[in-house]
Amino acid sequence: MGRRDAPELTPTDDELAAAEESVRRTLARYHEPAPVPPPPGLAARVLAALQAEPPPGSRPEPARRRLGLAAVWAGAALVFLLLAFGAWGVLVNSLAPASVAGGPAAGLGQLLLVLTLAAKPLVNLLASAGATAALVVVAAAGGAWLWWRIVSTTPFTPPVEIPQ
Amino acid sequence: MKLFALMLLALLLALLPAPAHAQAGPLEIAPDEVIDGDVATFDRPIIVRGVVTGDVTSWSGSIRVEGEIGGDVVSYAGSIELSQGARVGGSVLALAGGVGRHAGASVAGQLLGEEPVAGGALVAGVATIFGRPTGSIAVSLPRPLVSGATALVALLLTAACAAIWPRRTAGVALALRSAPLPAAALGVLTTLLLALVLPALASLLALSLVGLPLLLPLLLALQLPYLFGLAALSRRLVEALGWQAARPALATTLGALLLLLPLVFVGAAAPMLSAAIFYLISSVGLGAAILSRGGAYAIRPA
Repeated sequence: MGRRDAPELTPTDDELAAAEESVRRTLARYHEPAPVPPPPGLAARVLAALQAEPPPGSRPEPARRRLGLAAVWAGAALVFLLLAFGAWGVLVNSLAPASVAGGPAAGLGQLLLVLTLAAKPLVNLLASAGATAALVVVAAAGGAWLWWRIVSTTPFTPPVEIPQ
Repeated sequence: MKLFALMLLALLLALLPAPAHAQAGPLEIAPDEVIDGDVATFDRPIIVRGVVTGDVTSWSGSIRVEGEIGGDVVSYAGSIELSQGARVGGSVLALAGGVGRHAGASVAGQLLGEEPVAGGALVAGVATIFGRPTGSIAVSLPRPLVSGATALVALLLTAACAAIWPRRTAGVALALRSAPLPAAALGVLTTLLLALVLPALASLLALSLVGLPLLLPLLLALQLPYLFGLAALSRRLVEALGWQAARPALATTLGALLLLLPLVFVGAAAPMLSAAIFYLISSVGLGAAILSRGGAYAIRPA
């Protein structure tokens, strides 16, 4: 049984070339398989053999789909409500969220007041950025495009990992 | 390449205003001055002698109120002083810097922070990473100690990355060997983009109130890809130096030690510069990790 960090699991280029050469020599002994044209109509025959209907369970049932969609909408609504509730406190009236939870003097109300006030330096500093914010948006959009370009144009080959 | 250089310059320019703003002296609102709206700074102290109709907030700058403020007064790490005759229409919160209040000062809302707020020191600690607190009553640790301890934690976590994901680390190191320039470019670009986008995301989280306590854990979790990148870079470094050890994880840790040790000394004098260098070198490994899909694929040399 090998160790997880055994160095032989990550072969070098020379080792890979030697292994390929060895495989080719072995195959040559049995007359390396020569490419032959596929039989006529192979694709059509395979397609004809497939079932017309997808197998049961491969497509979510309408009821399950509706439930999934409802969960997504409920999640989005919850996030929107949380943001609206927080924005009410941070941007309009800092005592408002606390007053909903029993007042700012103690308990949950005071915790909400602390959270509302603690959000203010972060939000206000960003809001005071003004014209710089527009530059940031443009730079971020351009940077994201360049990021994707580098990722999508760099060629790679699977796999480095050797299956266990 | 020219396009990349231009884009990089634009991203750097977009990041510049904050540090440039931090260099200025105290922001003073004169007795006869009226500011219609909010006043917000990063680590710049604020003195209000006139009138501010909105909020007065700062991350790590102190705030002294001698005039009138219509909204709230908040500072994460700086202190807040309410002088005689000061009037605050909203509430006052100092997370770690403390609040000094003269008997003649009035606060319409709540006064929070005279006693340390739970978790406040932690939040203030993050704020002071970026800016030195002014007028704070918080005790600051000596820089060499903080720098050494941070480097030690980074070294241990890098070693953990190399030990937990040895093949992935080796895969990313292989990608670094195949395509060092695209990896470095992508890594630096990723870091700059994160620096641009994170404040907006943090603000959205803060607006939800519930998300605010999650900010610190998320910030810490964000360090993991960088530590993994550092582990891969360290492995590539020891390979380049010819230190082929029987235990690659140990060799990787030695490589990380080589990279982190100079940063300890730099960090003792200039913490921000040390942090910038750390993210810069880790970004190279991060870029290779993204290109190789976490070390699972090999990069074909162009």
